[in-house]
Amino acid sequence: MSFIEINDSFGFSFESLTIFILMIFIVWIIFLIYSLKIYGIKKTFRYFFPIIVIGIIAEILAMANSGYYYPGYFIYISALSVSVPVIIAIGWSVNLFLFLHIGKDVATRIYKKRNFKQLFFISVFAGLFGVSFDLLEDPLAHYSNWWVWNQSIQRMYIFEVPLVNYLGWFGIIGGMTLLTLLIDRSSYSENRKLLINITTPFICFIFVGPYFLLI
Amino acid sequence: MIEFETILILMIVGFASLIFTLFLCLTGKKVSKTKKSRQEILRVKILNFRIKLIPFIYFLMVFILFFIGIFSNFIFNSIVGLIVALIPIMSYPIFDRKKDTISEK
Repeated sequence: MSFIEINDSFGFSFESLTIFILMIFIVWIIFLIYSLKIYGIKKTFRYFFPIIVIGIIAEILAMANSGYYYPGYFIYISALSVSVPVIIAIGWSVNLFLFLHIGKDVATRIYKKRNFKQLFFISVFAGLFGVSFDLLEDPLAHYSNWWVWNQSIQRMYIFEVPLVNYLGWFGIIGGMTLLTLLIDRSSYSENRKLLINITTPFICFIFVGPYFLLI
Repeated sequence: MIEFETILILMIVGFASLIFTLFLCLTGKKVSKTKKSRQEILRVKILNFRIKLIPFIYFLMVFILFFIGIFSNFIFNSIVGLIVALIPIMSYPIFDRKKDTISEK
Protein backbone atom coordinates (compact mmCIF):
# COMPACT_ATOMS: atom_id res chain seq x y z
CA MET A 1 0.00 0.00 0.00
CA SER A 2 1.42 3.38 -0.99
CA PHE A 3 1.38 6.48 1.22
CA ILE A 4 -0.65 8.45 -1.32
CA GLU A 5 -3.74 6.85 -2.87
CA ILE A 6 -5.79 8.22 -5.75
CA ASN A 7 -9.46 7.36 -6.03
CA ASP A 8 -9.97 6.42 -9.73
CA SER A 9 -13.76 6.44 -9.45
CA PHE A 10 -13.84 10.10 -8.33
CA GLY A 11 -15.87 12.26 -10.71
CA PHE A 12 -16.21 16.02 -10.68
CA SER A 13 -19.97 16.34 -10.60
CA PHE A 14 -22.09 19.14 -9.19
CA GLU A 15 -22.58 17.43 -5.86
CA SER A 16 -22.39 18.98 -2.42
CA LEU A 17 -19.09 17.17 -1.74
CA THR A 18 -17.50 18.80 -4.81
CA ILE A 19 -18.68 22.23 -3.63
CA PHE A 20 -17.29 21.51 -0.16
CA ILE A 21 -13.89 20.38 -1.55
CA LEU A 22 -13.66 23.41 -3.87
CA MET A 23 -14.63 25.77 -1.04
CA ILE A 24 -11.91 24.42 1.27
CA PHE A 25 -9.29 24.50 -1.50
CA ILE A 26 -10.12 28.05 -2.64
CA VAL A 27 -10.16 29.37 0.95
CA TRP A 28 -6.83 27.62 1.61
CA ILE A 29 -5.27 29.31 -1.44
CA ILE A 30 -6.64 32.72 -0.35
CA PHE A 31 -5.27 32.28 3.20
CA LEU A 32 -1.92 31.08 1.88
CA ILE A 33 -1.56 34.19 -0.32
CA TYR A 34 -2.80 36.42 2.53
CA SER A 35 -0.33 34.87 4.98
CA LEU A 36 2.58 35.13 2.54
CA LYS A 37 1.76 38.78 1.93
CA ILE A 38 1.30 39.72 5.59
CA TYR A 39 3.68 37.38 7.44
CA GLY A 40 6.26 36.13 4.93
CA ILE A 41 7.37 32.57 4.07
CA LYS A 42 8.72 31.40 7.44
CA LYS A 43 5.73 32.44 9.49
CA THR A 44 3.34 31.11 6.84
CA PHE A 45 5.11 27.75 7.02
CA ARG A 46 4.79 27.85 10.81
CA TYR A 47 1.08 28.59 10.57
CA PHE A 48 0.27 25.92 8.01
CA PHE A 49 2.67 22.95 8.31
CA PRO A 50 2.33 21.83 11.98
CA ILE A 51 -1.48 21.82 11.95
CA ILE A 52 -1.53 19.73 8.76
CA VAL A 53 0.71 17.12 10.48
CA ILE A 54 -1.36 17.24 13.70
CA GLY A 55 -4.57 17.04 11.67
CA ILE A 56 -3.40 13.95 9.79
CA ILE A 57 -2.24 12.24 13.02
CA ALA A 58 -5.52 13.07 14.82
CA GLU A 59 -7.64 11.89 11.88
CA ILE A 60 -5.69 8.65 11.51
CA LEU A 61 -5.93 7.88 15.22
CA ALA A 62 -9.65 8.66 15.32
CA MET A 63 -10.33 6.59 12.19
CA ALA A 64 -8.25 3.69 13.47
CA ASN A 65 -10.58 3.78 16.47
CA SER A 66 -13.34 2.87 13.91
CA GLY A 67 -15.05 6.19 14.52
CA TYR A 68 -15.76 7.18 10.91
CA TYR A 69 -14.56 7.09 7.31
CA TYR A 70 -14.35 9.41 4.29
CA PRO A 71 -16.00 8.08 1.11
CA GLY A 72 -15.65 9.60 -2.37
CA TYR A 73 -12.64 11.94 -2.12
CA PHE A 74 -9.95 12.24 -4.80
CA ILE A 75 -6.53 11.94 -3.09
CA TYR A 76 -5.96 10.10 0.18
CA ILE A 77 -3.03 9.77 2.58
CA SER A 78 -2.79 6.17 3.76
CA ALA A 79 -1.21 5.12 7.04
CA LEU A 80 -1.92 2.57 9.80
CA SER A 81 -4.47 0.86 7.49
CA VAL A 82 -6.73 3.92 7.21
CA SER A 83 -7.01 6.68 4.58
CA VAL A 84 -7.42 10.41 5.20
CA PRO A 85 -8.32 12.73 2.27
CA VAL A 86 -5.65 15.34 1.55
CA ILE A 87 -8.30 18.09 1.49
CA ILE A 88 -9.25 17.25 5.11
CA ALA A 89 -5.63 17.77 6.20
CA ILE A 90 -5.59 21.06 4.29
CA GLY A 91 -8.93 21.92 5.91
CA TRP A 92 -7.33 21.74 9.36
CA SER A 93 -4.85 24.46 8.37
CA VAL A 94 -7.76 26.58 7.12
CA ASN A 95 -9.55 26.05 10.45
CA LEU A 96 -6.51 27.02 12.52
CA PHE A 97 -5.73 30.13 10.48
CA LEU A 98 -9.39 31.18 10.59
CA PHE A 99 -10.06 30.66 14.28
CA LEU A 100 -6.64 31.83 15.45
CA HIS A 101 -7.29 35.20 13.82
CA ILE A 102 -10.94 35.50 14.85
CA GLY A 103 -10.04 34.35 18.39
CA LYS A 104 -7.22 36.89 18.52
CA ASP A 105 -9.52 39.69 17.27
CA VAL A 106 -12.18 38.98 19.88
CA ALA A 107 -9.94 38.07 22.86
CA THR A 108 -7.78 41.17 22.46
CA ARG A 109 -10.92 43.32 22.67
CA ILE A 110 -11.65 41.85 26.11
CA TYR A 111 -8.13 41.50 27.49
CA LYS A 112 -5.50 43.85 26.10
CA LYS A 113 -2.39 43.07 28.12
CA ARG A 114 0.10 40.94 26.14
CA ASN A 115 0.85 38.05 28.50
CA PHE A 116 0.14 34.33 28.90
CA LYS A 117 -3.38 35.05 30.14
CA GLN A 118 -4.14 36.75 26.83
CA LEU A 119 -2.78 33.74 24.92
CA PHE A 120 -5.01 31.50 27.03
CA PHE A 121 -8.08 33.63 26.24
CA ILE A 122 -7.23 33.66 22.53
CA SER A 123 -6.88 29.85 22.54
CA VAL A 124 -10.15 29.32 24.41
CA PHE A 125 -12.00 31.66 22.05
CA ALA A 126 -10.41 29.98 19.01
CA GLY A 127 -11.44 26.54 20.31
CA LEU A 128 -15.00 27.67 21.09
CA PHE A 129 -15.40 29.35 17.69
CA GLY A 130 -14.09 26.17 16.05
CA VAL A 131 -16.75 24.13 17.84
CA SER A 132 -19.51 26.61 16.90
CA PHE A 133 -18.50 26.29 13.22
CA ASP A 134 -18.34 22.50 13.51
CA LEU A 135 -21.90 22.43 14.86
CA LEU A 136 -22.95 23.57 11.38
CA GLU A 137 -20.38 21.61 9.36
CA ASP A 138 -20.29 18.15 10.96
CA PRO A 139 -24.04 17.32 11.06
CA LEU A 140 -24.29 18.48 7.42
CA ALA A 141 -21.22 16.42 6.49
CA HIS A 142 -22.71 13.31 8.10
CA TYR A 143 -26.09 13.93 6.43
CA SER A 144 -24.48 14.49 3.00
CA ASN A 145 -22.05 11.54 3.38
CA TRP A 146 -18.90 13.71 3.21
CA TRP A 147 -17.79 11.63 6.17
CA VAL A 148 -19.77 8.90 7.84
CA TRP A 149 -19.91 8.34 11.59
CA ASN A 150 -20.28 4.80 12.86
CA GLN A 151 -23.61 5.07 14.71
CA SER A 152 -23.41 1.56 16.18
CA ILE A 153 -20.90 2.58 18.84
CA GLN A 154 -22.49 3.54 22.17
CA ARG A 155 -21.61 7.17 22.93
CA MET A 156 -23.22 10.56 23.36
CA TYR A 157 -24.37 12.23 20.12
CA ILE A 158 -25.27 15.85 19.26
CA PHE A 159 -27.07 16.15 15.90
CA GLU A 160 -25.95 12.54 15.12
CA VAL A 161 -22.30 13.52 15.63
CA PRO A 162 -20.42 12.15 18.67
CA LEU A 163 -19.72 14.62 21.47
CA VAL A 164 -16.08 13.50 21.44
CA ASN A 165 -15.75 15.01 17.93
CA TYR A 166 -16.58 18.49 19.27
CA LEU A 167 -14.19 18.00 22.18
CA GLY A 168 -11.53 17.00 19.63
CA TRP A 169 -12.17 20.18 17.64
CA PHE A 170 -11.85 22.30 20.77
CA GLY A 171 -8.65 20.49 21.78
CA ILE A 172 -6.97 20.65 18.37
CA ILE A 173 -7.90 24.25 17.50
CA GLY A 174 -7.36 25.58 21.03
CA GLY A 175 -4.18 23.60 21.64
CA MET A 176 -2.62 24.46 18.29
CA THR A 177 -3.55 28.13 18.67
CA LEU A 178 -1.79 28.20 22.05
CA LEU A 179 1.26 26.37 20.69
CA THR A 180 1.52 28.56 17.58
CA LEU A 181 1.18 31.81 19.53
CA LEU A 182 3.57 30.67 22.28
CA ILE A 183 6.26 29.98 19.68
CA ASP A 184 5.29 33.16 17.83
CA ARG A 185 5.76 35.38 20.87
CA SER A 186 8.92 33.67 22.13
CA SER A 187 12.14 35.59 21.78
CA TYR A 188 14.01 32.96 19.72
CA SER A 189 15.33 33.71 16.27
CA GLU A 190 12.97 33.14 13.32
CA ASN A 191 14.94 30.09 12.15
CA ARG A 192 14.77 28.48 15.59
CA LYS A 193 11.04 29.19 15.84
CA LEU A 194 10.63 27.48 12.47
CA LEU A 195 12.59 24.40 13.64
CA ILE A 196 10.65 24.20 16.91
CA ASN A 197 7.38 24.43 15.00
CA ILE A 198 8.44 21.65 12.63
CA THR A 199 9.44 19.23 15.41
CA THR A 200 6.60 19.83 17.90
CA PRO A 201 3.78 18.09 15.94
CA PHE A 202 5.75 14.83 15.87
CA ILE A 203 5.79 14.77 19.70
CA CYS A 204 2.18 13.54 19.33
CA PHE A 205 3.57 10.16 18.25
CA ILE A 206 4.48 9.51 21.90
CA PHE A 207 0.76 9.16 22.61
CA VAL A 208 0.18 6.66 19.77
CA GLY A 209 1.30 3.69 21.90
CA PRO A 210 -0.83 4.45 24.97
CA TYR A 211 -3.76 5.35 22.67
CA PHE A 212 -3.77 1.97 20.91
CA LEU A 213 -3.18 0.11 24.16
CA LEU A 214 -6.21 1.81 25.71
CA ILE A 215 -8.68 1.28 22.83
CA MET B 1 -4.72 -4.37 13.18
CA ILE B 2 -1.72 -2.09 13.67
CA GLU B 3 1.57 -3.86 14.14
CA PHE B 4 3.50 -3.46 17.35
CA GLU B 5 6.67 -2.47 15.42
CA THR B 6 4.83 0.43 13.74
CA ILE B 7 3.65 1.78 17.09
CA LEU B 8 7.15 1.39 18.51
CA ILE B 9 8.76 3.26 15.58
CA LEU B 10 6.22 6.09 15.89
CA MET B 11 6.85 6.37 19.63
CA ILE B 12 10.62 6.52 19.03
CA VAL B 13 10.05 9.32 16.49
CA GLY B 14 7.88 11.09 19.08
CA PHE B 15 10.48 10.87 21.82
CA ALA B 16 13.26 11.95 19.42
CA SER B 17 11.14 15.00 18.46
CA LEU B 18 10.53 15.80 22.13
CA ILE B 19 14.26 15.65 22.94
CA PHE B 20 15.16 17.72 19.87
CA THR B 21 12.47 20.32 20.67
CA LEU B 22 13.66 20.58 24.28
CA PHE B 23 17.23 20.95 23.02
CA LEU B 24 16.15 23.75 20.67
CA CYS B 25 14.24 25.53 23.43
CA LEU B 26 16.98 25.23 26.07
CA THR B 27 19.91 26.19 23.88
CA GLY B 28 18.20 29.03 22.00
CA LYS B 29 19.56 32.51 22.49
CA LYS B 30 17.06 35.23 23.05
CA VAL B 31 16.90 37.76 20.26
CA SER B 32 15.83 41.28 21.06
CA LYS B 33 12.68 42.15 19.20
CA THR B 34 12.90 45.00 16.78
CA LYS B 35 9.90 47.25 16.58
CA LYS B 36 8.20 46.70 13.29
CA SER B 37 5.75 48.98 11.67
CA ARG B 38 2.17 47.97 12.26
CA GLN B 39 1.18 45.08 10.03
CA GLU B 40 -1.24 45.75 7.29
CA ILE B 41 -4.57 43.98 7.61
CA LEU B 42 -6.34 43.22 4.38
CA ARG B 43 -9.90 44.45 4.26
CA VAL B 44 -12.62 44.05 1.67
CA LYS B 45 -15.10 46.75 0.80
CA ILE B 46 -18.74 45.73 0.71
CA LEU B 47 -21.53 48.32 0.42
CA ASN B 48 -19.42 51.15 1.87
CA PHE B 49 -18.26 48.95 4.78
CA ARG B 50 -14.63 47.93 5.06
CA ILE B 51 -14.54 44.42 6.58
CA LYS B 52 -11.50 42.36 7.59
CA LEU B 53 -10.81 39.62 5.05
CA ILE B 54 -10.67 36.64 7.45
CA PRO B 55 -14.04 37.16 9.24
CA PHE B 56 -15.57 37.93 5.85
CA ILE B 57 -14.35 34.62 4.40
CA TYR B 58 -15.63 32.83 7.49
CA PHE B 59 -19.00 34.49 6.93
CA LEU B 60 -19.03 33.28 3.30
CA MET B 61 -18.08 29.73 4.32
CA VAL B 62 -20.89 29.61 6.88
CA PHE B 63 -23.43 30.75 4.30
CA ILE B 64 -22.19 28.30 1.64
CA LEU B 65 -22.60 25.43 4.13
CA PHE B 66 -26.00 26.80 5.18
CA PHE B 67 -27.26 26.89 1.60
CA ILE B 68 -25.89 23.40 0.89
CA GLY B 69 -27.89 22.26 3.94
CA ILE B 70 -31.05 24.07 2.82
CA PHE B 71 -30.86 22.65 -0.73
CA SER B 72 -30.22 19.16 0.70
CA ASN B 73 -33.47 19.34 2.74
CA PHE B 74 -31.48 19.50 5.97
CA ILE B 75 -33.41 22.59 7.00
CA PHE B 76 -33.79 22.47 10.80
CA ASN B 77 -30.17 21.54 11.56
CA SER B 78 -28.93 24.08 9.00
CA ILE B 79 -30.86 26.92 10.65
CA VAL B 80 -29.68 25.90 14.16
CA GLY B 81 -26.13 25.43 12.82
CA LEU B 82 -26.22 28.84 11.11
CA ILE B 83 -27.25 30.60 14.32
CA VAL B 84 -24.48 28.86 16.30
CA ALA B 85 -21.87 29.34 13.57
CA LEU B 86 -22.58 33.08 13.45
CA ILE B 87 -21.55 33.48 17.12
CA PRO B 88 -17.91 34.31 16.16
CA ILE B 89 -19.11 37.06 13.81
CA MET B 90 -21.58 38.36 16.41
CA SER B 91 -18.72 38.56 18.93
CA TYR B 92 -17.18 41.45 16.96
CA PRO B 93 -19.95 43.98 17.67
CA ILE B 94 -20.62 42.50 21.14
CA PHE B 95 -17.03 43.03 22.27
CA ASP B 96 -16.69 46.37 20.57
CA ARG B 97 -13.40 48.19 21.12
CA LYS B 98 -15.18 51.45 21.89
CA LYS B 99 -17.06 49.94 24.85
CA ASP B 100 -15.54 49.44 28.28
CA THR B 101 -13.30 46.41 28.50
CA ILE B 102 -11.90 44.32 31.35
CA SER B 103 -8.34 45.31 30.62
CA GLU B 104 -5.72 45.35 33.36
CA LYS B 105 -3.60 48.38 33.96
